[in-house]
Amino acid sequence: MAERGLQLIESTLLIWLFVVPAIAALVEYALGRKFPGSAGRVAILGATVTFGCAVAMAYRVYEGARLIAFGHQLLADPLAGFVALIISFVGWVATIFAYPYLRHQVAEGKVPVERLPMYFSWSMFFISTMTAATINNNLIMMYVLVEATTLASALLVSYYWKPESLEAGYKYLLLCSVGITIGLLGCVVLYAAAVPLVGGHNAMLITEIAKVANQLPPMAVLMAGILIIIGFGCKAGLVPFHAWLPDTYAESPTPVAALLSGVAGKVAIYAVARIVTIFFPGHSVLGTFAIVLGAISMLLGIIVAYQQTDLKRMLAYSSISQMGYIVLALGIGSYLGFYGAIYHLLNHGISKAMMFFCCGALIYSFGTTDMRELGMKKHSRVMAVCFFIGVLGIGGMPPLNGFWSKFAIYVAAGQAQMWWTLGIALFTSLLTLAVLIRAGALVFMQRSHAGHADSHAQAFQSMAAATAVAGASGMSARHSGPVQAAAPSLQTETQAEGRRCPPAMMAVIILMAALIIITGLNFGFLNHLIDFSVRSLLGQVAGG
Amino acid sequence: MISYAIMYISLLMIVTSLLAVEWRMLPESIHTYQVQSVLIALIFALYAYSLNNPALYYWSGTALVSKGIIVPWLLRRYLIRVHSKETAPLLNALPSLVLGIAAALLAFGWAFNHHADLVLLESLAGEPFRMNSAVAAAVLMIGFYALLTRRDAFKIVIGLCLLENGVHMSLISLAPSIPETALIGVVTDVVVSVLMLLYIVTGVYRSAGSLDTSHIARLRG
Repeated sequence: MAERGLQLIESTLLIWLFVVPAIAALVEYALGRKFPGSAGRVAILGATVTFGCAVAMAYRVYEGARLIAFGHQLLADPLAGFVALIISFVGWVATIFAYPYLRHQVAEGKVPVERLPMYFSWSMFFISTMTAATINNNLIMMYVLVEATTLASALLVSYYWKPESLEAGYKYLLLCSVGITIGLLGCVVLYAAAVPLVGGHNAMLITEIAKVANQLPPMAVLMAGILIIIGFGCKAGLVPFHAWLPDTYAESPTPVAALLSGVAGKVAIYAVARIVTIFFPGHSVLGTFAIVLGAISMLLGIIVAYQQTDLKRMLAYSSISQMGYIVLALGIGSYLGFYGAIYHLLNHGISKAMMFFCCGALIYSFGTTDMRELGMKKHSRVMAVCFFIGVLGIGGMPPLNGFWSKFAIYVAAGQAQMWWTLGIALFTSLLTLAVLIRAGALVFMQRSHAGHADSHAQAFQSMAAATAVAGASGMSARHSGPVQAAAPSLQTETQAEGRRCPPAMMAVIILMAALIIITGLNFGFLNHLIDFSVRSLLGQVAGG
Repeated sequence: MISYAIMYISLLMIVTSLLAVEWRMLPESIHTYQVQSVLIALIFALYAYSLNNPALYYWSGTALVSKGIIVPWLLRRYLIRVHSKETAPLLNALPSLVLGIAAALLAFGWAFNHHADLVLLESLAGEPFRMNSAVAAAVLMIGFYALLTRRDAFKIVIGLCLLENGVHMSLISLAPSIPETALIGVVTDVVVSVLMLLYIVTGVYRSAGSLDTSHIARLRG
């Protein structure tokens, strides 16, 4: 590994990455008491700066530097940079999306206006804990931070404070806390095993444990590895531990569902990748365990997704299935396996978040996520196209991003001669395509023949409006007033038409659909970043 | 001498765990949990004395404050807002107790026999560490048992607290030299998670009128 251990640079960038959103959260909270109406502006600013920090960090890491802070407690290698980039990006767009979305819900009377600042405050904390988890190099802190993501998002899940959302929040908080406590036990066993070899303080650092990976007692490693996979897998929603996931995604506000599905689960998987892959060379059992869990999740997740009539629930189960892909690919443990896992982590994060945003736009327009009901409505073509780009991306159609990551996973399975794994992966991919296309057709293609010319004009209009604001995220802040004022006049239009989405929401959806295509092209920069990430995992595996 | 004291106190932890799970009156159950937390703090202090490791006094102090005072206080505070009798569990008292003891014994036996495989140092493989990690496993198992068989949302929170106590016991019996940086984070998480859970449980109680988690199954799983 030529680029490993080259330059270790102290950098405050790592600290800003999680301190900025935390400050934004506090400011939102403080300002929210006095000006609940203007909630969200600071959050958007904070999320933008965080994303900027992540881009800067990813760029420096890409150039070959390793950033550290607080001794070696925080460490950014390519993998951390890459995951932080995904998280802060999805966090950024989710905040922008939430701004008009929640204001609309306030206008509809679903949420009192005093609760508006709370949303942005908690969601910035949520983003802060997730970014902190990516650059963390401390074993026990990994537990602390992943649990903190659960705690920060629990009240977001129960945000509407209805019986259903409260119960979903209860399930989420309880099951994830129990799971992550099991993960802590695993971390403790691992730490205890490493103490005699590297000393009390160093045994906390994952990079130090990696150096002595092959000297640790096998029983301890095996137990710790399995406990960590189960514990963090619970948070990722792998199959025997997924009971909380569908309710949580379905009942939480849509931007939160996008964050949870798009990135929060990935943080847990990232933690597993960081800690458990260290031991793959000496303990193939751990890899096999991950593969089995992944395969079960893939298959069962998509089969149950087929039975759903609610779009959000369907997407939730499909998330379980896609998480299975990532875990399975990690379990294979070869270069291509890791490549597929990390690439798919990005692809699924973008695509699934985008599809949840589409859900949000549908709720905005029609107030429902029931697929049959939605089929009766007249939809914006732009959104239909974006949704189908997401469907084909996750379904693994070339040349979109999902195809390449899944292809890497198939080849990895083939190289490792795990034919049953390959079979399940291929079969699941076909099922995914079928289930998602069916859902898309149910929602968007039932009424496509009705009012043809009319909807075309509308689609063109919204496309023009959306492209005009693409990139100018700050616009959304100034637009909220007119949007609220315009809402009643739009209501006079026919029921089937629904309410027109504000440009900020459409811009987010279009931007992400464009990203699905762009990441599918796999430009040099992206490919190198993934390649470096895989190497940093493999370097870890090789013990240095 | 101290080693024996630690062993006997840790055995008391199994008793308090079983009591906390089986006692159907929630205030008494919280009380038992509080006693157990004080016992943990005591064990930490004894370790600190016998290993001559001052960092462990911090552990002892934080355990006493967080688990012995703050968490029980939170539990009581929220208990006033709901009711004091537990929703009937899945099993009757006697079979439940027998099953709980059986589960605890299994976990105890396994950890007692496999403790030496988990640590590298000879000094950590002997007593009282071995007994402690076996007790930790038993407490952990009782916590799980509570989570699986109880239907009262409040009791389930107590089960989670027991689970966390078990993990903290294992922390001390496997790695007595753990630095305090991690400690602050772990303790904060435990307290905040209990607070959040109670907050949401109270919300559930207000909207559903009971703490029976079998009603929660009406949300499709």
